[in-house]
Amino acid sequence: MAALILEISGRHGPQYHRVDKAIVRVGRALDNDVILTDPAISPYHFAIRRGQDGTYSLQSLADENGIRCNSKRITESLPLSQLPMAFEAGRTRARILDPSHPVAPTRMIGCHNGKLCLFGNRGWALALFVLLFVLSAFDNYLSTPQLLTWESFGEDQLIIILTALSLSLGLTIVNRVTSQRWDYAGSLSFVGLILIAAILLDQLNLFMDYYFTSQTPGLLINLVWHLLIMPMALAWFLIRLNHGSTGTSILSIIILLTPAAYIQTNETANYYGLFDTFDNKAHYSDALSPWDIRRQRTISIDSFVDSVTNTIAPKQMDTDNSDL
Amino acid sequence: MPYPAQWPNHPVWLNIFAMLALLIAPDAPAALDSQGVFERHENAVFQIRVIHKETGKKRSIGSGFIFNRSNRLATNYHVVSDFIDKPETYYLSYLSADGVEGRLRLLAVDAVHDLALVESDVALGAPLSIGEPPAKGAALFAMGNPLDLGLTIAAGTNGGVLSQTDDSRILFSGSLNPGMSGGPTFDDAGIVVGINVATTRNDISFIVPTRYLERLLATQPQPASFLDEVARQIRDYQISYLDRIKAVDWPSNKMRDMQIPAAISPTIRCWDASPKSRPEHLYRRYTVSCKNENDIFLTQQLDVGKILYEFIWVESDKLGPLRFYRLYQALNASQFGSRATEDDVKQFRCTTRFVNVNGMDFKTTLCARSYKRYSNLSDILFTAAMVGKKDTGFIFNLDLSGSDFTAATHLIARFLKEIRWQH
Repeated sequence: MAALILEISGRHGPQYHRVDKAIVRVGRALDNDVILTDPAISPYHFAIRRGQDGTYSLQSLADENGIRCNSKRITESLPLSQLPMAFEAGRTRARILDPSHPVAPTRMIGCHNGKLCLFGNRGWALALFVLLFVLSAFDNYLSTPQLLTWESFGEDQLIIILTALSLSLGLTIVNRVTSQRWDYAGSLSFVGLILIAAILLDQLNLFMDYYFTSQTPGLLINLVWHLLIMPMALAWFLIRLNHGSTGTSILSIIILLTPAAYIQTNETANYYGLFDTFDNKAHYSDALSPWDIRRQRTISIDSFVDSVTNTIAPKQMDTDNSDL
Repeated sequence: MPYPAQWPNHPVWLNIFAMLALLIAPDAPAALDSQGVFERHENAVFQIRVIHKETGKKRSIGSGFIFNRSNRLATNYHVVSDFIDKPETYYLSYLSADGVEGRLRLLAVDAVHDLALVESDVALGAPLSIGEPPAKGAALFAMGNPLDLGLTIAAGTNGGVLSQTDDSRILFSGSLNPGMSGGPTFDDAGIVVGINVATTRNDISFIVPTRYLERLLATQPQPASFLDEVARQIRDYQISYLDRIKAVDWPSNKMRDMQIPAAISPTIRCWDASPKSRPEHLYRRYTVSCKNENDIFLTQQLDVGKILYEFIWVESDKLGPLRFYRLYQALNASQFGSRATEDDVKQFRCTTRFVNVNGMDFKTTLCARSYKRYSNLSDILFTAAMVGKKDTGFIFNLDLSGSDFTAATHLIARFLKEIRWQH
């Protein structure tokens, strides 16, 4: 077997050591081949030995803490027949890799070509942020039926920008945790795109509400957005684009998106009365549109009375105490 | 001193006055003051109490007086409503002015006029005489147990029968306080002319005319379920009340380009509720809000029988269609104001349709939810927003609490037929 690679995980990312000697000794003592700083590590903690036949084995040298592989303590020599092999020495996580172990694709600095440049280029991040500002300003303008003043307009815009920046900062921190990298531009772009989509989604929901005279399409779109699109987009951003650790990324996504997903699911369930929760609110299609584009045709007053009588009239004696 | 000196010169006048006095005196006892009324009737007025079976303590208190029979007391429905709601948890008792206590049983209720009759196994005293209220402005005396402080009497004047309460209340310009409910209101001859029922404080109080008490006697025998009886009475009253409203011509008002029905019954009052216009507003918005005053006590948390409707007009020549409809959309958000909980009502169910209202299309929604324990009573929310105009909006909202669904839909249809765009 050719030389191996010892990967030691640390706060600043993993460190790699080539194992090409007959014995490579690892511990806190300064005469080791690989010197570690973890106080839970013994001065001479473990060794990787190459046998006569060229095969390697892992041997624990530690009296305290020892080595754990798949939650089992290694007391004797463990042959390294299957690579990669992960283990814990003290509190340090380590892996023994084959030199041919695949490495993650190179992350481009300063993207010039390709669709993914949206998330790697500061220029694009700024452009998306400007687009978000313009779109939200237009949305804000439409929602302000009075002369625009700082109180009526500027404060709302400031809140949107501060929210977007806060979310970007939050995502940057999550990205740092999952992929060990700081990346402001990608997070800004991602948050910008999501917020732009949210503004457009609101308008799409209103249109659907009016067109179908029902809140169902909008509720379904919101449900798909919160339960499917948002988690997938965030997973794609953290795992595929930024090569974050899968477990940490999924955990982050669950923590970040569960509240909104819960609220949306609850709202949908309440609308359809799926859970036995009480809601004093009447849920109905309240959207209005200046273009009056709709599927439902207009009916007469009498037909309306017939319609409500057939659909929502309470049944006679339809009460809980009818059997008293 | 010419004035007294003139009397001896007119002996004829004196003689006629003396004769009239002799003729009238035997049939017209001297008018009683509050002290006289109190002393004469204090033993006929009782505290009525709803007692928790487990703790033995008062849940609520009111007053009552001996009526019709020596063992029968008249009081308010709302005084005994906790017992009607949960007879397995509470019982009724009385406490006399001299401290004697005893059990009571419920005999009859009139939830619409807020009256109830209860009976004791023992005689409590001589029944009080009842009669019609005196002329407007005459003195009245209300007796009861305010705030559990002991029997007392409050003097005031008769403000007349109120048409806005569907003749179910007399205005009493005197001070009623919690605990006096169900107590008698006397005229200055010591006759019961009403039953204390409600107050808005500041000496504006209400009493129930005694004629409804006499009608209540006719409703016996005792119903199998008082809950069902209360629901039936309220529903029957709602049907008859809404039918009477529909049977008459409605006065019409103009609201910008829209002809709208205004106060459609003497029980309903309309007010301008337009928000204050500001120079920075790029639109004009007007609101007329109407409601009835004859709502009915159902439980300690719930009043029913409320009719509340409003017309909202909004227009703008400065906002574009997109901007105008954001404003219009925000105004189209009617919700039902209520303290009902999941113990009281089911979820609202709604139907939305586009309806032709005298040539204009309206997006109309009717939502209804039924009461869980009161058979066939429903809360109704109706909202209709005019569509098809780029710079003008008109919304009609109507809420009915504890109403009959069919009667409510017919009232709504009538409303829609009366709303007319003036081209």
